[in-house]
Amino acid sequence: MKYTVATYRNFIFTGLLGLLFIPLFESTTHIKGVKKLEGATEQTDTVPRFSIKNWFNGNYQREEVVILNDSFGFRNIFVRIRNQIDYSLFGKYHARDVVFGKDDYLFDKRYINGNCGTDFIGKENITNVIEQLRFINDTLEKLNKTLILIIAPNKAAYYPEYLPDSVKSCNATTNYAEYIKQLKTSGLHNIDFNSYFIAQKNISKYPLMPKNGTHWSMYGATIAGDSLIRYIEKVRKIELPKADITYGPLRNDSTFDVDIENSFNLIFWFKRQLMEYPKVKFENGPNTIRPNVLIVGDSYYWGLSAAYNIENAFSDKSDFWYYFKKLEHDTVTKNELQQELAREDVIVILATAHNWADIGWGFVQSTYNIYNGHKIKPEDNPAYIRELNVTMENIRKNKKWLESIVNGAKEKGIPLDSAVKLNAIWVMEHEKSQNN
Amino acid sequence: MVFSSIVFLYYFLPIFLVAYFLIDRKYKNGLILVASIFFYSWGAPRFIFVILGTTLLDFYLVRLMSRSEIRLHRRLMLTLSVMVNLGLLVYFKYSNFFVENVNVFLTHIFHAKALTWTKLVLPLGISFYTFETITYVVDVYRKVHKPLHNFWDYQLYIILFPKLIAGPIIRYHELADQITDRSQYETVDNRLTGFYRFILGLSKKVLIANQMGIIADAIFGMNYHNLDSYMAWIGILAYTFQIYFDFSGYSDIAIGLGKMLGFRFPENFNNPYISQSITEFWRRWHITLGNWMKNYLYIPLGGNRVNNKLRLYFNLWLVFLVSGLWHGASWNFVLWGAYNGFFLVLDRLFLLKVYEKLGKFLSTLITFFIVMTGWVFFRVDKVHDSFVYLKRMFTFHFSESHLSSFDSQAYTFLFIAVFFAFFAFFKRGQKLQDAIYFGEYSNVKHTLIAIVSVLLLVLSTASITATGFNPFIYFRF
Repeated sequence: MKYTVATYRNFIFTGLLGLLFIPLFESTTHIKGVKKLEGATEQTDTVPRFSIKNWFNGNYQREEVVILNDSFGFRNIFVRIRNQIDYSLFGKYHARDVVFGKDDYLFDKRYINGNCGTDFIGKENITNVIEQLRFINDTLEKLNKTLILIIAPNKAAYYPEYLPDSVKSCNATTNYAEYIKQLKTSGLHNIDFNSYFIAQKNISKYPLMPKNGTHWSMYGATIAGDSLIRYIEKVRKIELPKADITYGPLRNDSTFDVDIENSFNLIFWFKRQLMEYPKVKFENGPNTIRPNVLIVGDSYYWGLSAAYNIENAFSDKSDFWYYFKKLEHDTVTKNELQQELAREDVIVILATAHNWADIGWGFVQSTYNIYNGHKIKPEDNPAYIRELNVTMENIRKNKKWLESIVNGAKEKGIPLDSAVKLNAIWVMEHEKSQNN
Repeated sequence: MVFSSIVFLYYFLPIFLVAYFLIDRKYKNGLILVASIFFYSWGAPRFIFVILGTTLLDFYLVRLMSRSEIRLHRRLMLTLSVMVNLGLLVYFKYSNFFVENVNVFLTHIFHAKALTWTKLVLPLGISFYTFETITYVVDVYRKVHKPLHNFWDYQLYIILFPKLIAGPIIRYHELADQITDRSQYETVDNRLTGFYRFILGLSKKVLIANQMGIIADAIFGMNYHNLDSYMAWIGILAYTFQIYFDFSGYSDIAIGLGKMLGFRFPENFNNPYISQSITEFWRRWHITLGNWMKNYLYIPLGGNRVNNKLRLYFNLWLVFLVSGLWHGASWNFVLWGAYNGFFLVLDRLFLLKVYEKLGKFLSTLITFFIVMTGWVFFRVDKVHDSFVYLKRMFTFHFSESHLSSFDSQAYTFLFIAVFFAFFAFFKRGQKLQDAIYFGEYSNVKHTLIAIVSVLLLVLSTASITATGFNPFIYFRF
């Protein structure tokens, strides 16, 4: 009897001790099926370098702690448990910039801001960008190339009835509205999926925008991809591969169409819609041409690729620059841009309505710069001006800093505003050089 | 290394425990010693030499002392050892404070130039292990216990990692025999109950104290002039529970770890917030510090045997001033010590009799209120600011806009903190707590508590993972 009691207790203790080893075991063996975390959960790949110096100044320990915290076994599950408890018991969530709408429709705050015009960059700035785009377009046309601008839909504009009451009453001018207004008379090729989706909302067989996602649905992306292909055919007067689209059973278990929900990193799903996930296959005809296409775009491109396999309609030389960066996250150099522009037949700029506040993310200015043959001043870039204003504002808020600038301005005999501006430019350049 | 960290919980601890249980008994102390040196060096790599150096000196001074029969010689060794240890503590802990205050005099009164001084970093745990080294030399001097023969055994007593950083402060004679032989306590029951205690402490720290810390930090981070009374009270209430669950959680972890290894550490907390007087509070709060102060300061000052009552009150008050200063080199800690000493003297004068008449509930409430108010001096760095905060508490100005400042999670955890802090106020609660802490365990009880421990471990890990680095408050002392 005594033996049984001791054995049982030893068994419990061994089990408890064994539990402490499970994360270590998982982090070394990487058991399959452990659901990854969604969103900005970067893991550092740097291995801390052990040296006597690093040990005694504590750097090694600090780096090791960061890495072990980020990579210990089943961390993902522990984070999800915490998030689920906070959400289920206290209604708290740890996803950034998410707004709960009516009937639990999820919105990205930035889209709501875009739809409300709180990020409006001003009519003049938009006119400047349109002018640059027209110049680029004229140059490209002379080179037998085509520039197409695509405005992807904004969920906040698509589902205004589900927006919380607190954000419904904004009627300010938006970047989207101003761009649409100016694009109409600009002669630039463009597709406005924002207004198209809204027009199709009550006609479409399946939801074009998902309840728990922020981008167009896979079905919506298929419609958009097909429209883009037809548009390129029409503008360039060529025949692209024909998409054979088949429709399957409705599902709610896809990882697509739930990207906002995924960013909550919970264990249990929210209530999901049944969604359509078309299957697309491209067929080449005798006169089919697969053009070289460069798409400079935001995350809406991933839907075109995942749902519509749009890259299969283009040549192998085609490319996608995510926010005007190569997929390896490298900045595009002037040389690379020149080579790319020379190679491509079609250049597409794709951005959701709210991202038009900084359309092209530097692509427009850089291309304009190349074609115009002169170096554009930083002040020509609306994003630069915005950043400059923010930096100047931050300087003014910092009492000590402002004080030293006031003294410096007095010594140099320059107006305070100029001194603040010079300091802000220095900070921005310094940060830029640090990042490079 | 912090107990409530991933690196400790899932790397250091399991590897250490398995190695400890597998190796031969004669190597166990060696393993703990190596692990403790690694544990300390992980967080304070440079200061490991301070501990190793002072313990070496202490060990040989005490050896010399124990071998001598000449009283003067023994006293000399005692004085030398105490001075070295206290000297180091004063140097590392109070130099900055001293220079700052001298500079205030120099610059404000004499309009002289301030002294230049490179601020010193406080070696981790120095306040705790210095007090332990003093117990070694004093206990041997008083012939309470023989000295250790092996330097590494002494080193182990000082550097034993479960209690190294923040106690409990274990007096030498309480642990001496366990260092050389603890075989009779190395039972599976002790390992299991030690594990449960460890998880309980971890949960107190991570699940309750950290949540209270969020509220307290938010409020104490505000401009006190803009605080309304509601926020000021919520802030100090949250801090009152934060410091209790944080520090008692740490002690539970230390006691639990020690138990798993076969040690029996003294208890450090006994439901302090159910105390019915400040005198009782100090018998329930940081018990090992109280015992240290009593045995190594209060009694040498004359204790209760002094002829003059005034002297008795002065001694009591002095002990609390020193206790305050032990917590930190800052006037606010001195004030906190003086505040507690003041109420202790009042207890002796008349308060205890008043409490008797008031009954258990009111006495507990008043004592809790006194303790909580005292924490303001402890939490707020600057004396002037602490009075501003107190003013905000007692102006009883309530602004409606502040009522919704914290969410349901904050209030839920505040309720949980209140519930567990006063759990033992009622007899049933005390019984249940005793049964968990000290009772006999049947297999069914083991199974149940093991399941609860696993759940608490998962919840604590989930919380640690999400909140990152979260050191214990008492580390800075």
